[in-house]
Amino acid sequence: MPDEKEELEELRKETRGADRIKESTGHHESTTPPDSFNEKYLDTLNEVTTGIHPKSLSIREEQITALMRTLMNDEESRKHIEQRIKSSLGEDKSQELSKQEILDKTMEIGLNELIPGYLEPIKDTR
Amino acid sequence: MPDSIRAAAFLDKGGTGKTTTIAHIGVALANQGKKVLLIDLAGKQSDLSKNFGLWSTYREKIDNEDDWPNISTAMREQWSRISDRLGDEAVAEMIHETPEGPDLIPAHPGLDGLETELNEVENSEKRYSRLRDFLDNYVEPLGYNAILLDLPGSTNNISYNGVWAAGNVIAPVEAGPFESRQADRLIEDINRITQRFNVDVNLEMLVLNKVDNRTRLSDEFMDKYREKYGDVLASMPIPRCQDIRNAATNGETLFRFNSSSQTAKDARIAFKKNTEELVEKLG
Repeated sequence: MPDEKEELEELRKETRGADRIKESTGHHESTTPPDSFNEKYLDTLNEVTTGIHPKSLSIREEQITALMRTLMNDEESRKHIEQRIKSSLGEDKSQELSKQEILDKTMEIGLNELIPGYLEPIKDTR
Repeated sequence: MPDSIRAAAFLDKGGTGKTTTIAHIGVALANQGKKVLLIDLAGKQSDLSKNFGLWSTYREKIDNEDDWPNISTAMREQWSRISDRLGDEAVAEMIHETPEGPDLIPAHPGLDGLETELNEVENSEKRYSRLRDFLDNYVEPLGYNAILLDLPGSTNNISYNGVWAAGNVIAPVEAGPFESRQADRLIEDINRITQRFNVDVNLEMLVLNKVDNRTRLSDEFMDKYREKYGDVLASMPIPRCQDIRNAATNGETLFRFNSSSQTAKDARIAFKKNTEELVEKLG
């Protein structure tokens, strides 16, 4: 039936249009109070460095990427990282960075610039 | 009360092994002859689809705009009208067979936009029950024995929909001093959800993940976690195993991946055993 077909097409357009909205603009209710940014760093840092001697300074690139991906799952962390990168590189603060650009620039700057205390030894529990 | 057993992998942190856990439990259940549906809600990363080698095909469908309706459509307010028009095709279009037994509904980039739409829904119950309504009314009739959800590694509207819909939470955690805090926070989160919204959500299984069996540290953590979490802790930890990642890169789980390494063997046994325990708890 033409009316039903038209309605379905209308619904398809509406929902596909909504699919394209990328940015979350509102606030959602969360029953979890946000952690401090550095605590999140330390949690994730511990995750990617488990198995590496705490005094070792060489972390594989893929582990840094894994660290950054985990931090960037969180909107607050991502914005914080982005601001630090722009300050560090003297970049235009109004220009938004994609997640891949953030990853690439992190490799360029080095983690110590972004994570205060990164190079301090992690407590060895072994 | 749903006929299928349902569980969601949930932890407010990425990279902990949620996708791996869901993929392997799903295949272990399918290997027992169960009809299994996996649903990937982890947004653009689509790791669950990649784990079964389905992502590139699905990506092509997205690029060709042949990806509607999808999982984000199922949670939109227009869904009931869409499904009225499309009938059985509405859900059938979303479900893909994997080469290893389970069926899969892939994640879709539209989940980002859905997050925005859900922000506008003032009533919390209505905001968080969309996925549950979809599963209860449109998926249950398909006769799956198990429905497993892979949730985002953060607390947001999508992950809360997942937790509400599943009611049972599985959380992989690593054996480390910071990680036990994550498990504690997860339990607090679940308690808050249960009390605040009067829904039944339980932490059914904590799985110790990426354990280095070469160190005494792992035994110590296992004892400590057992003491603290009791029967919630899965009896077998998942060993740190590079082949899990190699398999995923190959678009497979360990059950299909050709590896005879000891850690791979141990991991397969652990996944099977933990799956049996889960069925016993939820069955």
